[in-house]
Amino acid sequence: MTGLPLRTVALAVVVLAWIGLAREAWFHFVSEPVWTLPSATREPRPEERYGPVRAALPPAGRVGYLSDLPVAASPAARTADDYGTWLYQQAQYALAPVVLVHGESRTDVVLANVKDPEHVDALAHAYGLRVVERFHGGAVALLRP
Amino acid sequence: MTAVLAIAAIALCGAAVTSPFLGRGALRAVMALLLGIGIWSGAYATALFVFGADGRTLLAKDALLAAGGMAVLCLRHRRPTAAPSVERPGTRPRRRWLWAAVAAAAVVATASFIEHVLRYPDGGWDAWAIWNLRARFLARAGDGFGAAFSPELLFWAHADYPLLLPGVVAQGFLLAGGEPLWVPAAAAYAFAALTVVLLGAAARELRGPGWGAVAALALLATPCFVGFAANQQSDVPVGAFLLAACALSAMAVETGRPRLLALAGAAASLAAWTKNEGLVYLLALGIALLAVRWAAFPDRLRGVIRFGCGALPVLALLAWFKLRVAHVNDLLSQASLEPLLDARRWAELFGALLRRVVFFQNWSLWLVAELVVLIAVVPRLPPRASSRVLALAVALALSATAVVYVLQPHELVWFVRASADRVLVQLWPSIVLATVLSLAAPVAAAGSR
Repeated sequence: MTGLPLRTVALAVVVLAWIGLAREAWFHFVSEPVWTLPSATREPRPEERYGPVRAALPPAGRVGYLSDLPVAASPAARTADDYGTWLYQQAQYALAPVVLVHGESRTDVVLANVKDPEHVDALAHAYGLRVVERFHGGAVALLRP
Repeated sequence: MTAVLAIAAIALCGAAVTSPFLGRGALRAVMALLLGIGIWSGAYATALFVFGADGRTLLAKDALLAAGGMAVLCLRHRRPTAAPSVERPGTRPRRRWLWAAVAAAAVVATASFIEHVLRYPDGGWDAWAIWNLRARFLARAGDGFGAAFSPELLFWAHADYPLLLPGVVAQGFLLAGGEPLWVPAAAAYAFAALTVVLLGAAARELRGPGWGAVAALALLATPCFVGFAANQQSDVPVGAFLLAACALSAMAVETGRPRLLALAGAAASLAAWTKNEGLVYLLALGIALLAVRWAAFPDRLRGVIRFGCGALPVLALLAWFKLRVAHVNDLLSQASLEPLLDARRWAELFGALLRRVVFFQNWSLWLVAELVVLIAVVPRLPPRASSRVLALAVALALSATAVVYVLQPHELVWFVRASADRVLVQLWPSIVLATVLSLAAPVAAAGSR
């Protein structure tokens, strides 16, 4: 035997492909119901939280970043709840080419990005900063020395 | 106009690098497009680092690529070209039901891709946190593009990752004059479609059209292939370039045309310029080409030297990037060899990997079927040098990946869950090709097509 007959392999692959495509279709059209797609596309994208902030920040350079949630700054610092890390990354994605420097409070302007808007003032106080502008219901704020 | 020039640059430089090696046909066309995109992005990074982000520089870069490509093609026109892909007697597609299955699979895969992209327009986590983030830096920052590699960015942004995919997306943004969401999505779809067509064309070239359809169908119906493509990450692109390198290597081995290895080296180097794993794959393929006995040792050595020469230009760019721009990789930043001696860590790794093999959501039954074929079928078939080269390359790549998994500093099971399927999907098109090459006799010897 120099090789398997094409017909045998093709039949096996078609059966496997049918199962694979059924799984693919199940996930994309049933598990995530396709009829919810129109409403899903209308939902605000996470980075819209930072739209007005972008206009208030310098166009480039370093900007300090503070939060009331832990941000994993090294592989060893990962936490079970990665919401703080996700918030930082979303902010960085939205605000590039500004470089958000996590934990830095000595830049001209500092971005506070918090889960609870009531934490902004305490955060500013802890770092000796004052709140100059609030966005997104107070969950995002610009702080200055 | 600039978009037209960019398309001309991709098409002409791709055609120029492939025309000396491949005859006219689907394989050359798809290979030219894929390598053309890679060269276009590599030239962008080179122009950026050498001359800065001035729009006129990028325009000149595209003009140079298009003119250079055109010049090479004109010179080639005067010489005898590589043998065209011959439509061999009896190799015309006869099994229409098989091609109908491929077409149906392509429709389902495309619909799934569109659904996913509409629902998650920024792509998967790694897409917006790494690849599209980098593209935004490059497109937005002008001459301040160096901020994209700032050591002050958290390690999640992986500033050390190479730039092929961000280079494509960033140039798309610049050509579009904004950042429409369709740009990264279109790039992702293009790489996925090119991978499927390339796999089908390579299997067809080496084993006949029926086998091309079988290979393309297997890839289209792998659930996570579509998912990862729609996630806009670099795993499908790196897999596309690796597949190109593997297909060209197999052709070199089977047809006795070792000069194809120069083009294989170029394709492998573009994989290395796409993702760090690509460098591992390049080395693995180079070692496999030297180790497997497909020719006398001096011929194999000459072949590997050709492979290295083909890879050299992009590897030089990569070396410069790694030495001058990129910062320490987080996976090896705290490297200690001690975990390699920890049997429990290895056991944990293999347990977690075994779970991926039977992970139906991502792989359906494909990996199980692959293992069955490897254990029960392949040993009964005559060994073929081309499939052994690819199999050894994949085995070496997986072994190196296993070592990285054991050494890396993240929690092991979490890291395997987060990344193993992506590593496998990078290798999967090449694994499918190697499997087809094992199962089917070469075109000249086969009785059944």
